[in-house]
Amino acid sequence: MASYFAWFSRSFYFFSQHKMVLYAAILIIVVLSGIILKNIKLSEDLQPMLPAGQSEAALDISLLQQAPFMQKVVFNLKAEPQIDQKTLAEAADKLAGALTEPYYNRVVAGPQMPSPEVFFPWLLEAAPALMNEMDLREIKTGLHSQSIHSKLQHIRERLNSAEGWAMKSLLQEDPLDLHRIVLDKFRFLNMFKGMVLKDRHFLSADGRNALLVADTSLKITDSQGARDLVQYTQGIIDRQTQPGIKVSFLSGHAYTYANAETIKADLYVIFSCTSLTILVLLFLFMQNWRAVFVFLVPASVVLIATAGVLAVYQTISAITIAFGSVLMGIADDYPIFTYFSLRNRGSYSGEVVAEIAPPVLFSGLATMATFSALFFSDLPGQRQIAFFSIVGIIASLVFSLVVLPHFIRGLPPARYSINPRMPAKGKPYRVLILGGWLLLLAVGLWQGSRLIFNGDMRSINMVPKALTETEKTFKRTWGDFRETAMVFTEGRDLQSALVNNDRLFAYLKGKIPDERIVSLASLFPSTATQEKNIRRWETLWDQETQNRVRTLFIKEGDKAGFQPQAFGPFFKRWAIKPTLVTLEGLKQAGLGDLLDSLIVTEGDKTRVLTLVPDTPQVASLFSKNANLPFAARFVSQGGFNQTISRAMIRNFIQYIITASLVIMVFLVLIFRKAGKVFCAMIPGITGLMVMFGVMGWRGIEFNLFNIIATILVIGLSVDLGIFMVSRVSEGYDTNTGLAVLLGGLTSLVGMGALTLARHPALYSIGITVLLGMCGAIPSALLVIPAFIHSKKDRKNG
Amino acid sequence: MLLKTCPCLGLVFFFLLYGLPSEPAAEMKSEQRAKEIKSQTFSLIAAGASTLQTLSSDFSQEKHLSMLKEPLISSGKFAYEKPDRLYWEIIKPSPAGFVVQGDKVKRWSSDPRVTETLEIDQEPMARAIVEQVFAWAKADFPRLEKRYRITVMDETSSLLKLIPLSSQEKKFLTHITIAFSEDWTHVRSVELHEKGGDFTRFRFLNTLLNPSLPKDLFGK
Repeated sequence: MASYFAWFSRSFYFFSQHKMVLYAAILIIVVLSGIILKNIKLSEDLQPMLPAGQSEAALDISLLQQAPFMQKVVFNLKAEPQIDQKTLAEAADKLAGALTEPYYNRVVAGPQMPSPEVFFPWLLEAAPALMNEMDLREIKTGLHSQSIHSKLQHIRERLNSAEGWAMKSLLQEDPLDLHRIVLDKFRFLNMFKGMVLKDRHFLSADGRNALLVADTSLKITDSQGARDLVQYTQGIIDRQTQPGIKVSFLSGHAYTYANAETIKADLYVIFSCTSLTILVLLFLFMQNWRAVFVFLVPASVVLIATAGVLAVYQTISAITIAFGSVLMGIADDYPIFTYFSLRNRGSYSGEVVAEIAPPVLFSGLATMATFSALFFSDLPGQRQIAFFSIVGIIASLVFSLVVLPHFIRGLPPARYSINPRMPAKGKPYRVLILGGWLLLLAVGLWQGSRLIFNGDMRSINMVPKALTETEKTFKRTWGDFRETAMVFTEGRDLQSALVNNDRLFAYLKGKIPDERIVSLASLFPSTATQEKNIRRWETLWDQETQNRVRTLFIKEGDKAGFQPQAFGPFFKRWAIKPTLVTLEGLKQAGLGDLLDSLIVTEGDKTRVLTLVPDTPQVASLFSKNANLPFAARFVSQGGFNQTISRAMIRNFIQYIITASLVIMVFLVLIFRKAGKVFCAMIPGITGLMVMFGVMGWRGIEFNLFNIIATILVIGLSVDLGIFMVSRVSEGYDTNTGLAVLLGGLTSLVGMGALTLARHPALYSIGITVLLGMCGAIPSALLVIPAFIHSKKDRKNG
Repeated sequence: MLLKTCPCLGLVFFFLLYGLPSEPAAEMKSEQRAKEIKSQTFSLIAAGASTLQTLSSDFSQEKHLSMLKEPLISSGKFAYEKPDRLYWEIIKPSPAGFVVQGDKVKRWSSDPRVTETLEIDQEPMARAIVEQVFAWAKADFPRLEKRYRITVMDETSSLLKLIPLSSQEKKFLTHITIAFSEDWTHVRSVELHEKGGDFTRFRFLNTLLNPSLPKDLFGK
């Protein structure tokens, strides 16, 4: 093993004689990193933190993205009492007209319905294909003289009313009001429960709110695009909105923008605080201007790690960059140990460097091994953080053992001693420490058992107050159209998907109130269902029934004052061959937008969406035990959160086991004795117990980002453990106490800076790691010496 | 007598007196004359409108529909107060009505005490009546001429013909005729002629100009 470390000795002597080569190498690395960083593409959204690949959760995510309105921008115009409905509708039209390319492709203030003289005949043409058995039964029961007499009286009244003028030809063609049965089926397509249509505008039931729906080609994951879109939209609203009308809008872009802006602001705060505090701490502990070289190691490591990620991934998540402050806190441990070791020895030779290399390298390798567990994650963002950290740690190890010794030659001893006193070796003192430690572990375990795993991504998203208010306004006015669950029926083509959709609709009817279902099945059933409906229709209107009904109309019509030919157009309809309702026909009937929202074609698959309430009761209808006779997939935010929570628990256990095993192997390789291996794990165990204990006690939920926090706590704690065990028992005289304290403090600073973040995800990592390190550092400084000395006592005694 | 038994002869005399209409000079002359008559008519209507503050009348509505053996007849009361108040009540056969104040409409059916408030745009029939009444009462001819080609049918019987210009209105209506009182101060009847020959006639009877109206009439 020693021959491996001799490499550091040889490199030291080589660069001592070829300093220009060393400087040139550093310069090349810096310039290369600079070139790569010049084209940095920062991704501020949390998308990389969502599962990818072929997992169930990943499929759920891709399906959730297909929800209607997911990619749309929805506007609400709220009128003050002095504003009348006409002015509100005009304001909606004006705003719609002002929202233009390149940000908006299309803005609609109301349904694109055709004129009544096109629409009503369409309803009648569609009737045979759309009316089901129940509808026909209802018609059949009304085909007797009394019912027809009352219908004709009603028609007389309508003819004499205001609407009679426009409805006259429809009443002649459809005296039985069959079009109403078809019209009633439109209720299954109302996505906004609080919406009414007035003068071709989407208005709330009280007429005080108008709705606009806008299409944009800008993806919600494009943070730059989202920023431009939000700023453009806000500008238009400020310029176009008249007094008395308040405009708010909701879209995924607004969330992306809010997150991006918050993370960016957080990055400045985090890096400024971390850099400044670490620099101050280094000067305070090192009392020499060359502390700046130690500082340059973590600082340049962040740049190199960023460049490394960019070279491999092309884009870097802002969360990863924010993690840079943590990396600074970790990466400065190695130069700190190198600095103190060399200063303490007072000699600067290759042999000394080779001598201090093992604990530094082992510590770095153990941390890397811990981070490597994240490579098995389903979340691309976690894999990126692992890569970022490992590149950073490698760079820090190289700088610490190969470069730094050349810059800190001939250090004078410290003017003032800052060296923590280790616990006194008295037995009662050690018993007290070990007893307190065991009590702490027990309490941590007890409280940690109450830990709640929360897979809801929204809880770690930045949602500004204004956006929360807008969400509430929309929900109050238009219903929870953004929070419904979706059921996907799939097929190799549209027809096979529609067949499943018909079955799904039949399955849901009666189990969920009609008004809570949004489905195409009522207006666009499969061809098979339509043909079945037509056959039933033709059976109902056989020649005998036609003759009977014609006679009834003429007879009852005469009594009610109608001419015999008054309903001629209705009788003529019987002779028309019924036709199927087609996609094209529905688009002409003004349902184009709805069809585009509810039918998704992807590659060789077609999916038809049905929207249902996102409740556990509805979810249970699609559980594995439901044994559905058709293929359907239920996807909802609530269900997705549960899937993520389950996956998170699974991943978490997997990480803990993987990281623990890897670390155990490392520790066994380094120390080769069970006692020492256990001692080196004390900070890790304590850190995790404190972290989980406090989280359980305070009700802080464990989210996706806390997995990273856990890995961090393990990695950092193992570092401390290795150095402390080495110092106390292996005889490496590396001024370890001071180095452990300073390394621990800088790590705390790096993580503590994350608690200054406004973004919930960054804050969450910061606060939990801080909790973990608050347990790990004291246990490294107090419990490890106490444990090792107790063991020695037992041996001696 | 001859003219009574053979109305076509009247047309012959007309052409004899005024010459053939295909003659360009004569056509221009006749157009000029029609313009003058229309202008005089509008002046008379405007003069009547300028003195009008309130108006009340009974009305009857006859719907002549090819579907029905007999016309549908209803009757009621109507009142107007400048600038934008209107009361329209159908008494027979089924009570119903509406009151307009500006852009707001209160309508009722059966029980006048139970009203529903709407924007005028939500009530097409009310809007159509209000537009006509307000435009004529204010003598707002530019507005009317934007929507209709207006011709004076007969000076002596004070009859105007309005042909809709908008394609939307043309789908339903071929023309409207409005008969004024001899002194052009108020409307006697309105006929809405639909495609296919059906028509609706409103007759205004017992019309009073500038009567004092009950204070709460528009407050229903």
